[in-house]
Amino acid sequence: MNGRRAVAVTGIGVISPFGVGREALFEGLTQGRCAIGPLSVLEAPLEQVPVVGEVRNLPDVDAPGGLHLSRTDRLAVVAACQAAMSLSDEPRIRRDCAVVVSTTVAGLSDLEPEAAVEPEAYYRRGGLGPASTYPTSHPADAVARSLDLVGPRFGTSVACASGAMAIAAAARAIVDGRASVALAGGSDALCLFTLAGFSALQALDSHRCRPFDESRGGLNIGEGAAMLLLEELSHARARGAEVLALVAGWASTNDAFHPTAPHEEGRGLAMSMTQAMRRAQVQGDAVGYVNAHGTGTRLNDVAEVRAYERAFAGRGVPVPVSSTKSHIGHTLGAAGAIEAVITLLALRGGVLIPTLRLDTPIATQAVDLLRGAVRPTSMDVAMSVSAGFGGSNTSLVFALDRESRSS
Amino acid sequence: MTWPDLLVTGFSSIGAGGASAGLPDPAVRTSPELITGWITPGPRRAVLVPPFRPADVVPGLRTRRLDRLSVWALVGTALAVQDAGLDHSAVDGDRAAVVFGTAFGCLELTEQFLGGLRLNAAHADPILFPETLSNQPGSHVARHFGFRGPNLTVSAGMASSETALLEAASLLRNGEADCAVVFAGDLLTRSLFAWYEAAGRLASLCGGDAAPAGGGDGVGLVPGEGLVACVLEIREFAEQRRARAYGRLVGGWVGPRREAGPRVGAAAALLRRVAPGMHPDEAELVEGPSGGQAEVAGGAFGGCGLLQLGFALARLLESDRPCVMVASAVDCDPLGVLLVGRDPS
Repeated sequence: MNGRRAVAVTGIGVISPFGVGREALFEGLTQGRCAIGPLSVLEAPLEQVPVVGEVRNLPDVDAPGGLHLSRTDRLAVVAACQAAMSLSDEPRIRRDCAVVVSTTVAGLSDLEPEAAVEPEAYYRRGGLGPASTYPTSHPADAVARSLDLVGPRFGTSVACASGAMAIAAAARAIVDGRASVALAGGSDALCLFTLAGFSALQALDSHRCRPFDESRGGLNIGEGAAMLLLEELSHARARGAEVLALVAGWASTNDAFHPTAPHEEGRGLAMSMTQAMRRAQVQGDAVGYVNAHGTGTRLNDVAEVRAYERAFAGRGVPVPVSSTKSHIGHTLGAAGAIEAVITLLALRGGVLIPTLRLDTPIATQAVDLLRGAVRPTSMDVAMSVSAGFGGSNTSLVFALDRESRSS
Repeated sequence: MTWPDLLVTGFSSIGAGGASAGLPDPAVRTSPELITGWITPGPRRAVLVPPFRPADVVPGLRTRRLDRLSVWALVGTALAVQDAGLDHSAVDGDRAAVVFGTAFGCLELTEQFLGGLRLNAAHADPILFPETLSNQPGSHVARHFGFRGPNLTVSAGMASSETALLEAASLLRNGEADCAVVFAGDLLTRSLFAWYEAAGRLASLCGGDAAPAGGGDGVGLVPGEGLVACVLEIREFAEQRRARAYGRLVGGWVGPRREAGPRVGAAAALLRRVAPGMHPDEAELVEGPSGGQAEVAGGAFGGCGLLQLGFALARLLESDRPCVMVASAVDCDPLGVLLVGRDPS
């Protein structure tokens, strides 16, 4: 680790269209199920009822005193409570624990259009609470206050790379010594705002999405949240916490190319992967699995394949890549965090999860676009890759902790 | 946690006095002005940015196509980069980071898009939608200046700018970039102002003709808008290009106000959080702005902390101490604290 502090993952929390918990998510993925279906949790007066990955039976969450919780907040708190189960009750640790939560919609999930048109009337009829959840810092506040954590906290919002960037920011805070423990992840709820927006962009597939397929027709929006409990490795070992994996490397870049389209050759995305591997001190050959951004849009998927070809150039065998958005949809600000969890589960479970509905993969020699059955494998390192509007890219490299494994 | 090797080399601000490069003048006070941009239930006041010509700073048509916040981001960055003497075309763009702090993001465009859904969600505006994302100001800056390094947008209420600065410092310290443009700002809109009013958060001088003149009353806040930007560099990079520095960013802390210590504003308690090993005599505390600087100079918005940083750097030129520490507005939670020091070189 180059003398730097190492960052351990000691807790995982997730709520996804497969339900609450990492077991439900792993079971859904490894059974090859698809949780994408017709929208039912809200009314969307669009030309077509979209197919989405929605969370049914969202558990009730007690709001901390004086705080209104949006659907995005509630998802975040559910995931955070699971991730924090292994967090020490020691006041010093809870005092130091940082909270970094990403989101793109935050409280927009609960805001009505009237809030923007006739705000005074909207507030008079009870809209003050929902409007208070609008800032993208609100899910972080909700998590911190629900768990009584008083360390540094903030929200990140970097489009669809947000969740991965939150994890990278928290890992950096631990390396820096600004926090010894951090809860980091992302949360986004389904809402009319994003459904109408992506529909206007003609980016939604009216059927279940087909990432990396030549016939792909767009994305499906999903919702959910995931949180990781991160801590300095020696801190985790000293308190006897189970080290689930290491956040071995991370890197963020920007394409500086176009407001919505990725760089055609995946330049920025490839650079984020290369830098993350360099930080993790691993070669491309060591990466056993990549959980892709893989939205299913025409532009993203081909640029992403080009990025893998660049980043893994010289690798002996094609790099195994899949998009689990084909199972749960694109959870936007939560995607990077949920996919980090999936990457960890694949790494620990020794499985390669295929992309669903991948019949005619994009032609490439350098990338093994996983399809068909789940493949058992053995690996020490896996990567999660995220990208977003505005040219944002983030790659995370996770590694098994050999010392914990041998003991 | 202290950062001895990070230098602030450029600064700019966009506020009630318009757009300008260099450190803000702590002596300048701005009275909240009557709001005329939207209908209010009576006379209401806030600190607002007057119209100015962005093309004077960022030539061409680019700024015509953008919303105010993104325009301010481009103009603020251009002025700070110019103030730093940084030739952005000569910089390795892969090593230049952009960090944006904002409490409310692209609020104006979000309201516009959200309001449009009431009439016709099936035919929403495809150009407008992506521009509502909070990271778009940062991505416009990345594209305009060719900064391809880490690009992060953070939000922590009125401590958003301190958070942005600390994240930028972390990126530099971790070797992820050589220099960073940090900017923080917010727009004030009708719905936000109305929220403050309905929630009983406004200072009395914002609400009506009979309100007392002068600073904030310590009970509520004076909503403001604007954007503040700075250039932060690792020492080696700054020295290589022979940049002059306003000062060093020595440390910082953002956290719940109650964690700052028993007496908010007490220099020793805050210094213990920011620089545990530093003797209290080494740092002068620029008093928290209850009814003072932040509210009257810029109003309350996500860029307050960077404005305070500018005041601290300006104060550093006159202070008999090697360091100056600033704390964000007293009414704000979380609390942001920044510590700057004189650059010995």
